[in-house]
Order: sequence, then C-alpha cells, then structure tokens
Amino acid sequence: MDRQPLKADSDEYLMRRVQQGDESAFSMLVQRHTQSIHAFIYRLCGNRGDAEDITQETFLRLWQRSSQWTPDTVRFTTWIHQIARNLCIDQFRREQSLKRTSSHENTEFADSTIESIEEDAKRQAMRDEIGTLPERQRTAIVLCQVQGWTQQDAAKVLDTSVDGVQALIGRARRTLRASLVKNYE
Amino acid sequence: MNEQNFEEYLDLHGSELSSWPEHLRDEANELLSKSSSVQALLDAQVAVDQVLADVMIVPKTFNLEQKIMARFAAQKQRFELRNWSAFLWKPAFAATCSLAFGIYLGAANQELPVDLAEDLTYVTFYDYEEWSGEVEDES
Repeated sequence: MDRQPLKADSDEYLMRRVQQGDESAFSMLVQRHTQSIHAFIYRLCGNRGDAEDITQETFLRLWQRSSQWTPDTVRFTTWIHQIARNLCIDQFRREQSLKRTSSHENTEFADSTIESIEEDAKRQAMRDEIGTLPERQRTAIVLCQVQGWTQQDAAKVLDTSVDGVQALIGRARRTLRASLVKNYE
Repeated sequence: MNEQNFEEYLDLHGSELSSWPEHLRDEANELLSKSSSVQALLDAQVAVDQVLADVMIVPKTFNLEQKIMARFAAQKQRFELRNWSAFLWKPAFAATCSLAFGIYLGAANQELPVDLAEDLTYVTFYDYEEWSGEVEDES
C-alpha cells in the first residue's frame, strides 16, 4: 500500500490518533463503524446477544491492540473485520455448534419477513444450513455476497488469495443450492 | 458449455447472469433456452440469493455505541486502578522490608548491651592497667 498523506477525517488518520491514546478519535471510530461491524458479526454468528457482545469486544480489542495496526500493510476496515472474525471464531469454538444459536433467533425473522408457515420452515432450514457452513465459507459469502465487498478485500480478511475466496464462495453456493432444492422437493 | 460447466460458472459468478463474463453469458443463455435442468439450477441459485438476502437482515441495535464507550470507560478505570496498585506496590514493599529489617535488628540487638558492657569493662580494665603501668613507669 502506498504511503500517502492521511485525510483528517479518514479512518487511518483517526487510528493514528488512537495509537497515541486519543479517546475522542476512538469514539469517532466507534460511532462510524459500530453498525457495520455489528451487521458483519450478526451475519456470522446469527445471534443477537452474541453479536452485541462481540461487537463491544471488537472495539475494546481495537483500543488495546492499536499499536499492532500498521497502515502500510492493511486497511483499517480490513483490520477491524479481522479482529471481529477472530472473536467470532473464538465464540464458535466455545459453543462448538451453531445450531443452538441459529435456532433461538428465528422468531424475529419469522415475525418480520415470512408470511406463511411453510415459507417460514423453508427459510428456517436455509438459515440452519447457513449456520452449518464452515466458518470460512460463511465469512466469504457474507462479505462478498451480502455485504458487497470485493473478493480482494475479503481475501485479506480471510488471509487467502482471490482464487481461494472464489472457491469458498463457490462451495458455499453449491451447498446452499443443494439444501434449498432438497427442502423444496 | 454443458450443464456441468454451467454449474461451475454458477458457483463462481452467482445467479446474476449480467455479472458473468460476456463470452460466457451468451453461451449460458443459449444453454438455458435448451435445457430445463439448467434453468432449474439457475432458479435454485436465484432462490438461494433471495433467501440469503432475507435471512441476513440485521436486527436494530439500541445504544450499542454508548454501551461500547461505557465498557471502554469501565475498562480504562480498572486499568488505571491496576496501574496505581502496581505503582504503590514497590514503595509499600520497600517500606515493609525496611520495617521488618528494623524489627529484626532490634530483636537481635537485645543481647548486645550485655556483651558490650562486658567488653567495655574488660577494655576499661585493660586500658586502666596499661595506663596505670605507664603512670608507674613515669614515676
């Protein structure tokens, strides 16, 4: 990444100030990125309570480990998503199974988006299927398909190549497609 | 392009044919017009994408930013308290050591006055003899 003068309101500039212990810069980053980080975490873990906790923990880690961020190697948004993803992985390991988390949140989706019970059951099945995807496939599909990231940026978060991301997305699509066909038969 | 190729490209590029490379798009459209099973594959992927968009809706959060800042403040306070404890620990330890050493010295020196008295008596006597001898010699 080329070293360029940082804009006064850019994430990278604020992060430099955070590295110097500036709490107001930290607060600005919190205001700016909380919702997108929360959305990413929620889409990975599928549980409202966990998503809020992990979002809070992500920003606390950002402050604690600010000295580890190097603007020349990784963009701020990529770095904070890496922190969030690692915390999600820790959470997955603690829970061992995503089935539990994917089952007790669905009523809110059912209430707001699903019209019929049959549709509800199918979507529930699909949601369970998303929950059982390997973590890397789920992260790839969330970043690229749901959040609209480029495969290059997703590759940095996943610490892999663009080809690797394509393969992860491809496998996830095929799995979900097979599951949907099975559920609609 | 055959059905197997189509499925591989579908995995790679998704259900939006307009985002496929142009040379593949034409072949895909041609195959779609001929094969109902290929059309079924595409329909399934379109359905997956729709369901994904639906189930990935994120619930609203309430004051999450404030919660983060509150946890940050609490953590900072704990950190400062720990720092203070660390700061006070060394002088407190030094003072305790000094005190303990003083008490030890005090206890150990309880017997000194007796020894010291004996030594002083001896020295005084010896010195007196020496002194008194010198006086005798002079006289």
